[in-house]
Amino acid sequence: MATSTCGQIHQHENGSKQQILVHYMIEQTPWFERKFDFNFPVGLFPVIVERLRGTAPHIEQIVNRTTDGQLSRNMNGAWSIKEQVGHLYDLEELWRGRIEDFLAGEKTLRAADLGNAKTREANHNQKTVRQLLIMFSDARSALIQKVEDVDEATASLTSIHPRLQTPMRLIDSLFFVAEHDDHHVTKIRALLANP
Amino acid sequence: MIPQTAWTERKFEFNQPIGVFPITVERLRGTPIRLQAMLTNATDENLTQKVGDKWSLIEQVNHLCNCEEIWLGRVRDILDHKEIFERRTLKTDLQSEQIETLLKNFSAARHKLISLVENMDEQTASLTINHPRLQRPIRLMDTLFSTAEHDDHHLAKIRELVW
Repeated sequence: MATSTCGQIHQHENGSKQQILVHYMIEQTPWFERKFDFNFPVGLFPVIVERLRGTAPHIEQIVNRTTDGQLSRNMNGAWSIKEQVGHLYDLEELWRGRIEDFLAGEKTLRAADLGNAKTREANHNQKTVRQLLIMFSDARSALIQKVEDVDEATASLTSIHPRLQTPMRLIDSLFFVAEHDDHHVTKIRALLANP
Repeated sequence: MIPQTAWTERKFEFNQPIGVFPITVERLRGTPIRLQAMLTNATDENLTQKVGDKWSLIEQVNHLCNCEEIWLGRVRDILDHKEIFERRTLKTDLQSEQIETLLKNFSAARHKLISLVENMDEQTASLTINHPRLQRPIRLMDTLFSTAEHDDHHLAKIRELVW
Protein backbone atom coordinates (compact mmCIF):
# COMPACT_ATOMS: atom_id res chain seq x y z
CA MET A 1 0.00 0.00 0.00
CA ALA A 2 1.43 3.37 -0.97
CA THR A 3 1.30 6.29 1.39
CA SER A 4 1.15 9.82 0.15
CA THR A 5 0.95 13.12 1.99
CA CYS A 6 -1.58 15.79 1.23
CA GLY A 7 -1.72 19.46 2.09
CA GLN A 8 -4.65 21.77 2.53
CA ILE A 9 -4.95 25.50 2.99
CA HIS A 10 -7.52 25.89 5.71
CA GLN A 11 -9.23 29.20 6.34
CA HIS A 12 -9.29 29.96 10.04
CA GLU A 13 -11.93 32.02 11.77
CA ASN A 14 -9.61 35.00 12.08
CA GLY A 15 -9.14 35.00 8.30
CA SER A 16 -5.54 33.77 8.32
CA LYS A 17 -4.54 30.79 6.24
CA GLN A 18 -2.14 28.06 7.07
CA GLN A 19 -1.08 24.91 5.34
CA ILE A 20 -2.23 21.72 7.02
CA LEU A 21 -0.52 18.47 6.16
CA VAL A 22 -2.60 15.34 6.09
CA HIS A 23 -1.82 11.77 5.13
CA TYR A 24 -3.75 9.54 2.78
CA MET A 25 -3.21 5.87 3.53
CA ILE A 26 -5.22 4.62 0.58
CA GLU A 27 -3.68 4.49 -2.88
CA GLN A 28 -5.67 6.22 -5.62
CA THR A 29 -6.95 3.94 -8.40
CA PRO A 30 -5.10 4.67 -11.70
CA TRP A 31 -7.28 6.43 -14.27
CA PHE A 32 -7.09 3.65 -16.84
CA GLU A 33 -8.34 1.15 -14.26
CA ARG A 34 -11.47 3.15 -13.48
CA LYS A 35 -14.77 1.62 -14.55
CA PHE A 36 -17.99 3.56 -14.96
CA ASP A 37 -21.67 2.68 -14.85
CA PHE A 38 -23.40 4.90 -17.35
CA ASN A 39 -26.88 4.13 -16.10
CA PHE A 40 -27.87 7.23 -14.19
CA PRO A 41 -30.92 9.32 -15.11
CA VAL A 42 -30.60 12.26 -17.47
CA GLY A 43 -31.90 14.40 -14.57
CA LEU A 44 -28.33 14.39 -13.23
CA PHE A 45 -27.32 16.70 -16.08
CA PRO A 46 -27.47 19.95 -14.00
CA VAL A 47 -25.45 18.26 -11.22
CA ILE A 48 -22.75 17.08 -13.62
CA VAL A 49 -22.48 20.48 -15.30
CA GLU A 50 -22.11 22.05 -11.86
CA ARG A 51 -19.24 19.67 -11.10
CA LEU A 52 -17.56 20.82 -14.31
CA ARG A 53 -17.98 24.46 -13.28
CA GLY A 54 -16.36 23.78 -9.92
CA THR A 55 -13.04 22.35 -11.07
CA ALA A 56 -11.22 25.61 -11.88
CA PRO A 57 -12.02 27.39 -8.57
CA HIS A 58 -11.21 24.18 -6.67
CA ILE A 59 -7.73 23.97 -8.23
CA GLU A 60 -7.18 27.70 -7.81
CA GLN A 61 -7.72 27.41 -4.08
CA ILE A 62 -5.38 24.41 -3.78
CA VAL A 63 -2.45 26.02 -5.58
CA ASN A 64 -2.94 29.43 -4.01
CA ARG A 65 0.10 30.55 -2.00
CA THR A 66 2.29 27.82 -3.47
CA THR A 67 5.76 28.68 -4.80
CA ASP A 68 6.57 28.34 -8.47
CA GLY A 69 9.31 25.87 -7.61
CA GLN A 70 6.84 23.60 -5.86
CA LEU A 71 4.38 23.89 -8.74
CA SER A 72 7.00 23.02 -11.38
CA ARG A 73 8.66 20.14 -9.57
CA ASN A 74 8.71 16.74 -11.27
CA MET A 75 9.01 13.91 -8.76
CA ASN A 76 9.99 10.40 -9.82
CA GLY A 77 9.11 11.14 -13.44
CA ALA A 78 5.53 12.10 -12.58
CA TRP A 79 3.93 15.27 -13.90
CA SER A 80 4.35 18.44 -11.86
CA ILE A 81 1.33 20.33 -10.52
CA LYS A 82 1.56 22.74 -13.49
CA GLU A 83 1.63 19.79 -15.90
CA GLN A 84 -1.44 18.31 -14.19
CA VAL A 85 -3.29 21.62 -14.69
CA GLY A 86 -1.93 21.90 -18.23
CA HIS A 87 -3.10 18.36 -18.96
CA LEU A 88 -6.64 19.31 -17.94
CA TYR A 89 -6.42 22.26 -20.35
CA ASP A 90 -4.98 20.07 -23.13
CA LEU A 91 -7.92 17.67 -22.95
CA GLU A 92 -10.60 20.35 -23.24
CA GLU A 93 -10.24 20.27 -27.04
CA LEU A 94 -10.97 16.53 -26.99
CA TRP A 95 -14.00 16.91 -24.72
CA ARG A 96 -15.45 19.67 -26.94
CA GLY A 97 -14.69 17.62 -30.03
CA ARG A 98 -16.55 14.66 -28.59
CA ILE A 99 -19.61 16.84 -28.00
CA GLU A 100 -19.40 17.76 -31.69
CA ASP A 101 -19.18 14.03 -32.51
CA PHE A 102 -22.42 13.38 -30.59
CA LEU A 103 -24.15 16.30 -32.30
CA ALA A 104 -22.93 15.12 -35.73
CA GLY A 105 -24.26 11.60 -35.08
CA GLU A 106 -20.84 9.92 -35.24
CA LYS A 107 -20.97 6.20 -34.40
CA THR A 108 -17.69 6.32 -32.50
CA LEU A 109 -16.24 9.23 -30.58
CA ARG A 110 -12.84 10.59 -31.53
CA ALA A 111 -10.01 8.84 -29.70
CA ALA A 112 -7.80 10.34 -27.05
CA ASP A 113 -4.03 10.28 -27.48
CA LEU A 114 -3.31 7.75 -24.74
CA GLY A 115 0.36 8.74 -24.79
CA ASN A 116 -0.56 12.33 -23.86
CA ALA A 117 1.89 13.79 -26.42
CA LYS A 118 0.17 17.17 -26.21
CA THR A 119 0.93 17.50 -22.50
CA ARG A 120 4.44 16.08 -22.80
CA GLU A 121 5.34 18.56 -25.56
CA ALA A 122 3.57 21.64 -24.19
CA ASN A 123 6.31 22.66 -21.77
CA HIS A 124 3.70 23.68 -19.20
CA ASN A 125 6.37 24.18 -16.55
CA GLN A 126 7.53 27.29 -18.45
CA LYS A 127 4.13 28.94 -17.93
CA THR A 128 2.87 30.45 -14.70
CA VAL A 129 0.13 28.56 -12.87
CA ARG A 130 -2.02 31.69 -13.26
CA GLN A 131 -1.68 31.44 -17.08
CA LEU A 132 -2.53 27.74 -16.99
CA LEU A 133 -5.59 28.32 -14.80
CA ILE A 134 -6.87 31.08 -17.10
CA MET A 135 -6.35 28.84 -20.14
CA PHE A 136 -8.19 25.98 -18.45
CA SER A 137 -10.95 28.16 -17.08
CA ASP A 138 -11.61 29.79 -20.49
CA ALA A 139 -11.65 26.42 -22.25
CA ARG A 140 -13.97 24.97 -19.60
CA SER A 141 -16.34 27.92 -19.98
CA ALA A 142 -16.46 27.19 -23.72
CA LEU A 143 -17.31 23.53 -23.03
CA ILE A 144 -20.07 24.49 -20.59
CA GLN A 145 -21.54 27.04 -22.99
CA LYS A 146 -21.70 24.32 -25.61
CA VAL A 147 -23.78 21.99 -23.43
CA GLU A 148 -25.61 23.92 -20.73
CA ASP A 149 -28.81 24.49 -22.70
CA VAL A 150 -29.15 21.08 -24.34
CA ASP A 151 -32.47 19.25 -23.97
CA GLU A 152 -32.99 15.68 -22.74
CA ALA A 153 -32.95 14.20 -26.24
CA THR A 154 -29.58 15.83 -27.01
CA ALA A 155 -28.11 14.86 -23.63
CA SER A 156 -29.14 11.28 -24.42
CA LEU A 157 -27.46 11.10 -27.86
CA THR A 158 -25.30 7.98 -27.86
CA SER A 159 -21.98 7.02 -29.40
CA ILE A 160 -19.25 4.45 -28.71
CA HIS A 161 -16.34 5.37 -26.48
CA PRO A 162 -13.25 4.21 -28.40
CA ARG A 163 -11.19 2.94 -25.42
CA LEU A 164 -13.98 1.63 -23.19
CA GLN A 165 -15.76 0.15 -26.25
CA THR A 166 -19.08 0.85 -24.63
CA PRO A 167 -22.03 3.04 -25.65
CA MET A 168 -21.92 6.41 -23.98
CA ARG A 169 -24.50 9.21 -23.91
CA LEU A 170 -23.51 12.85 -24.19
CA ILE A 171 -24.34 13.21 -20.49
CA ASP A 172 -22.06 10.22 -19.75
CA SER A 173 -19.19 11.91 -21.58
CA LEU A 174 -19.59 14.95 -19.31
CA PHE A 175 -19.68 12.70 -16.24
CA PHE A 176 -16.48 11.09 -17.56
CA VAL A 177 -14.87 14.57 -17.76
CA ALA A 178 -15.98 15.41 -14.19
CA GLU A 179 -14.46 12.16 -12.91
CA HIS A 180 -11.26 12.82 -14.88
CA ASP A 181 -11.08 16.32 -13.38
CA ASP A 182 -11.43 15.00 -9.84
CA HIS A 183 -8.81 12.32 -10.50
CA HIS A 184 -6.28 15.04 -11.33
CA VAL A 185 -7.40 17.47 -8.63
CA THR A 186 -6.69 14.69 -6.12
CA LYS A 187 -3.26 14.16 -7.71
CA ILE A 188 -2.54 17.89 -7.40
CA ARG A 189 -3.44 17.83 -3.71
CA ALA A 190 -1.09 14.90 -3.14
CA LEU A 191 1.78 16.52 -5.06
CA LEU A 192 1.44 19.72 -3.09
CA ALA A 193 2.11 18.00 0.19
CA ASN A 194 5.32 16.27 -0.84
CA PRO A 195 8.08 18.23 0.90
CA MET B 1 -33.27 23.15 -19.38
CA ILE B 2 -33.22 19.61 -18.06
CA PRO B 3 -35.07 19.19 -14.75
CA GLN B 4 -32.87 17.89 -11.93
CA THR B 5 -33.67 14.49 -10.45
CA ALA B 6 -35.05 14.82 -6.91
CA TRP B 7 -32.62 13.71 -4.21
CA THR B 8 -35.10 11.17 -2.86
CA GLU B 9 -35.23 9.54 -6.29
CA ARG B 10 -31.47 9.10 -6.59
CA LYS B 11 -30.14 5.54 -6.55
CA PHE B 12 -26.61 4.47 -5.74
CA GLU B 13 -24.84 1.21 -6.46
CA PHE B 14 -21.90 1.78 -4.09
CA ASN B 15 -19.60 -0.46 -6.11
CA GLN B 16 -16.56 1.79 -6.43
CA PRO B 17 -13.11 0.41 -5.67
CA ILE B 18 -11.51 1.53 -2.42
CA GLY B 19 -8.96 3.50 -4.49
CA VAL B 20 -11.64 6.10 -5.22
CA PHE B 21 -11.57 7.06 -1.52
CA PRO B 22 -8.97 9.88 -1.91
CA ILE B 23 -10.99 11.33 -4.80
CA THR B 24 -14.19 11.29 -2.75
CA VAL B 25 -12.43 13.05 0.13
CA GLU B 26 -11.10 15.67 -2.30
CA ARG B 27 -14.64 16.22 -3.60
CA LEU B 28 -15.76 16.81 -0.01
CA ARG B 29 -12.93 19.32 0.47
CA GLY B 30 -13.97 21.10 -2.70
CA THR B 31 -17.56 21.85 -1.76
CA PRO B 32 -17.00 24.87 0.55
CA ILE B 33 -14.49 26.23 -1.99
CA ARG B 34 -16.91 25.89 -4.90
CA LEU B 35 -19.76 27.31 -2.83
CA GLN B 36 -17.68 30.33 -1.89
CA ALA B 37 -16.66 30.87 -5.53
CA MET B 38 -20.26 30.55 -6.69
CA LEU B 39 -21.55 33.09 -4.19
CA THR B 40 -18.89 35.75 -4.84
CA ASN B 41 -21.21 37.72 -7.09
CA ALA B 42 -24.52 36.80 -5.45
CA THR B 43 -26.72 39.78 -4.67
CA ASP B 44 -28.85 40.16 -1.52
CA GLU B 45 -31.85 39.47 -3.74
CA ASN B 46 -30.24 36.20 -4.92
CA LEU B 47 -29.72 35.12 -1.31
CA THR B 48 -33.27 35.50 -0.07
CA GLN B 49 -35.43 35.19 -3.18
CA LYS B 50 -37.90 32.30 -3.07
CA VAL B 51 -39.45 30.69 -6.11
CA GLY B 52 -42.77 29.21 -5.06
CA ASP B 53 -42.34 27.02 -2.00
CA LYS B 54 -38.74 26.07 -2.87
CA TRP B 55 -35.85 26.92 -0.61
CA SER B 56 -34.05 30.24 -0.99
CA LEU B 57 -30.30 30.23 -1.45
CA ILE B 58 -29.81 31.00 2.25
CA GLU B 59 -32.04 28.02 3.12
CA GLN B 60 -30.06 25.77 0.78
CA VAL B 61 -26.77 26.71 2.47
CA ASN B 62 -28.39 26.33 5.91
CA HIS B 63 -29.43 22.83 4.89
CA LEU B 64 -25.86 21.94 3.93
CA CYS B 65 -24.70 23.21 7.34
CA ASN B 66 -27.38 21.27 9.20
CA CYS B 67 -26.59 18.05 7.33
CA GLU B 68 -22.97 18.00 8.51
CA GLU B 69 -24.06 16.76 11.93
CA ILE B 70 -25.82 13.82 10.27
CA TRP B 71 -22.82 12.91 8.07
CA LEU B 72 -20.42 13.15 11.01
CA GLY B 73 -22.75 11.05 13.17
CA ARG B 74 -22.97 8.36 10.52
CA VAL B 75 -19.20 8.07 10.24
CA ARG B 76 -19.00 7.81 14.04
CA ASP B 77 -21.70 5.11 14.04
CA ILE B 78 -19.57 3.05 11.66
CA LEU B 79 -16.39 3.63 13.68
CA ASP B 80 -18.32 2.55 16.80
CA HIS B 81 -19.24 -0.69 14.95
CA LYS B 82 -22.98 -0.09 15.33
CA GLU B 83 -25.15 -2.48 13.35
CA ILE B 84 -27.37 0.20 11.92
CA PHE B 85 -27.25 3.99 11.64
CA GLU B 86 -28.68 5.73 14.65
CA ARG B 87 -31.90 7.58 13.85
CA ARG B 88 -31.15 11.29 13.74
CA THR B 89 -33.46 14.20 13.14
CA LEU B 90 -32.20 16.70 10.64
CA LYS B 91 -32.32 20.21 12.06
CA THR B 92 -34.41 22.54 9.97
CA ASP B 93 -33.87 25.78 11.87
CA LEU B 94 -31.85 28.58 10.32
CA GLN B 95 -28.33 28.76 11.73
CA SER B 96 -27.97 32.27 10.41
CA GLU B 97 -29.28 34.61 7.77
CA GLN B 98 -25.78 35.97 7.16
CA ILE B 99 -24.17 34.16 4.25
CA GLU B 100 -20.65 34.85 5.57
CA THR B 101 -21.54 33.15 8.87
CA LEU B 102 -23.08 30.20 7.07
CA LEU B 103 -20.07 29.72 4.80
CA LYS B 104 -17.75 29.85 7.81
CA ASN B 105 -19.90 27.34 9.73
CA PHE B 106 -20.10 24.99 6.77
CA SER B 107 -16.38 25.17 6.12
CA ALA B 108 -15.57 24.49 9.79
CA ALA B 109 -18.03 21.57 9.99
CA ARG B 110 -16.70 20.06 6.77
CA HIS B 111 -13.14 20.39 8.05
CA LYS B 112 -14.21 18.36 11.10
CA LEU B 113 -15.63 15.60 8.90
CA ILE B 114 -12.54 15.48 6.72
CA SER B 115 -10.22 15.41 9.72
CA LEU B 116 -12.06 12.33 10.93
CA VAL B 117 -11.67 10.37 7.70
CA GLU B 118 -8.62 11.58 5.78
CA ASN B 119 -6.09 9.30 7.48
CA MET B 120 -8.14 6.13 7.25
CA ASP B 121 -6.70 2.90 5.94
CA GLU B 122 -8.48 0.57 3.53
CA GLN B 123 -9.85 -1.62 6.30
CA THR B 124 -11.50 1.29 8.10
CA ALA B 125 -12.87 2.85 4.91
CA SER B 126 -14.38 -0.56 4.11
CA LEU B 127 -16.20 -0.99 7.44
CA THR B 128 -19.90 -1.55 6.81
CA ILE B 129 -23.16 -0.69 8.50
CA ASN B 130 -26.78 -1.38 7.64
CA HIS B 131 -28.55 1.50 5.99
CA PRO B 132 -32.14 1.59 7.32
CA ARG B 133 -33.75 3.15 4.23
CA LEU B 134 -31.72 1.25 1.63
CA GLN B 135 -32.12 -2.02 3.60
CA ARG B 136 -28.57 -3.12 2.82
CA PRO B 137 -25.06 -2.76 4.24
CA ILE B 138 -22.94 0.11 2.94
CA ARG B 139 -19.27 0.91 3.48
CA LEU B 140 -17.90 3.96 5.26
CA MET B 141 -16.51 5.18 1.92
CA ASP B 142 -20.02 4.85 0.44
CA THR B 143 -21.46 7.22 3.04
CA LEU B 144 -18.79 9.76 2.07
CA PHE B 145 -19.60 9.28 -1.61
CA SER B 146 -23.27 9.83 -0.84
CA THR B 147 -22.35 13.05 0.99
CA ALA B 148 -20.34 14.28 -2.02
CA GLU B 149 -23.31 13.56 -4.28
CA HIS B 150 -25.66 15.33 -1.85
CA ASP B 151 -23.33 18.36 -1.87
CA ASP B 152 -23.38 18.48 -5.66
CA HIS B 153 -27.15 18.08 -5.74
CA HIS B 154 -27.49 21.24 -3.65
CA LEU B 155 -24.72 23.16 -5.45
CA ALA B 156 -26.69 22.61 -8.67
CA LYS B 157 -29.83 23.90 -6.93
CA ILE B 158 -27.94 26.94 -5.66
CA ARG B 159 -26.60 27.66 -9.16
CA GLU B 160 -30.19 27.97 -10.39
CA LEU B 161 -30.77 30.65 -7.75
CA VAL B 162 -27.57 32.61 -8.36
CA TRP B 163 -28.38 33.14 -12.05
